[in-house]
Amino acid sequence: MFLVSSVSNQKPLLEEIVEKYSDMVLRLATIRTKNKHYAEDIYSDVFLRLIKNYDKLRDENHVKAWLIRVTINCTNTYMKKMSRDNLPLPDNIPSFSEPVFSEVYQAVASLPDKYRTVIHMHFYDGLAVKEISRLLAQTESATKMQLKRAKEKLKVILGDDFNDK
Amino acid sequence: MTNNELYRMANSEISVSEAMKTEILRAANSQYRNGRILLRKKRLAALMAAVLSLALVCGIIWMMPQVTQLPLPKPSESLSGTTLNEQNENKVYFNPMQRDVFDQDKIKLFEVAGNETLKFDSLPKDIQDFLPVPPQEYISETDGYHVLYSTGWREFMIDGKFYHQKSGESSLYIGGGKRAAEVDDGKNPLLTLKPSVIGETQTSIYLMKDEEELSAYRMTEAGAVYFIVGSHISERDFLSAVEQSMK
Repeated sequence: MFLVSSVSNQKPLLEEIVEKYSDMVLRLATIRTKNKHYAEDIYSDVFLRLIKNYDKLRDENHVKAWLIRVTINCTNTYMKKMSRDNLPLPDNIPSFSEPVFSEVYQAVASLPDKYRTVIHMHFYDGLAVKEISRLLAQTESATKMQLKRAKEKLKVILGDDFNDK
Repeated sequence: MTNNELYRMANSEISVSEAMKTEILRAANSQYRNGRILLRKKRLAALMAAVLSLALVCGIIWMMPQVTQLPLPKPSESLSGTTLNEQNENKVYFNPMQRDVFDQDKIKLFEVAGNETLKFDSLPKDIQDFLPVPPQEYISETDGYHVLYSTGWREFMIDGKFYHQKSGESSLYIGGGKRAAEVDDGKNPLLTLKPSVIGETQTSIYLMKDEEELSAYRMTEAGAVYFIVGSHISERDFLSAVEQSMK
């Protein structure tokens, strides 16, 4: 198959990366674009870039951070292109099996872009404030502030159902 | 269930299909093959470039001896004669024979009868001005031949042979029996014009003060001396001027 894994630096095989991080990339792209189809385009773009740059990646941590960073960049580029071409940005939130899932997801998706990005990275990817700050190229205090305000907004949206935990 | 957990559950329902993953891996394999082909092409191009560079270097190395073996200008030989051809090869920069431009207006022709005694003061003004140092002596009828004594000449040519004075004050004698032409005040005979030579042939003498000025003398069989003063004088122009004067 493609590319032999470098055991010495513990860089995973491309197949392993695709298997392990595909969902992470797609979900981050989905919450940022709020459109599943756009997110799939971005997913393809991100992994094609990964194929081209596979030799430059060092280890698994680097791979994950690289994927998140490139996904954010690709999303920004995609959204700018859509905006420049005056194409509509329809909300096409994927349907969920449980209404409560949809309610929470829609609440996050309704946040401004910078808030829902940090919420997603913090809640779903489990990234620490420091790591989010590094990936978004901003200060930790800015990330903390964004998280705080995002939670406040979610509390307003979800009302009594909001649980800060 | 916390909102965090609910959000995680919601996201867990968003997943990449196996078809999309397969598509990515197929693209990776294609990219890998293309990469291999591209790498082969790059290696081939690098090999070709190396071969061409090597050929170029070899060519330069091969050409170098030929370039270095090209004849280089040699300094004129001191106190020794070289043929006109040698002079042409070696002193191109100072060869009046190769001057294509000839300013007819600067030619002056002055004829002196063979039995006439010349004095410097009797020479035409333009010839006096041209001579770098006024002739110290001009003796007519010495041993039946003219003797011209002057200093300051750097280069001269007698009958197609090129001469270069050493340095400092030098003199040129023309005529004077067996020692018709000398330099260095006669201490180092440069050329002896035998009476028979002068008597039987026409002798051309060119005196060059510098690259721009040139004086030409010609002794005729009758002992007449023609002075031609000017610049860029060629042999053909000189002869033409003499012929014109003798008509």
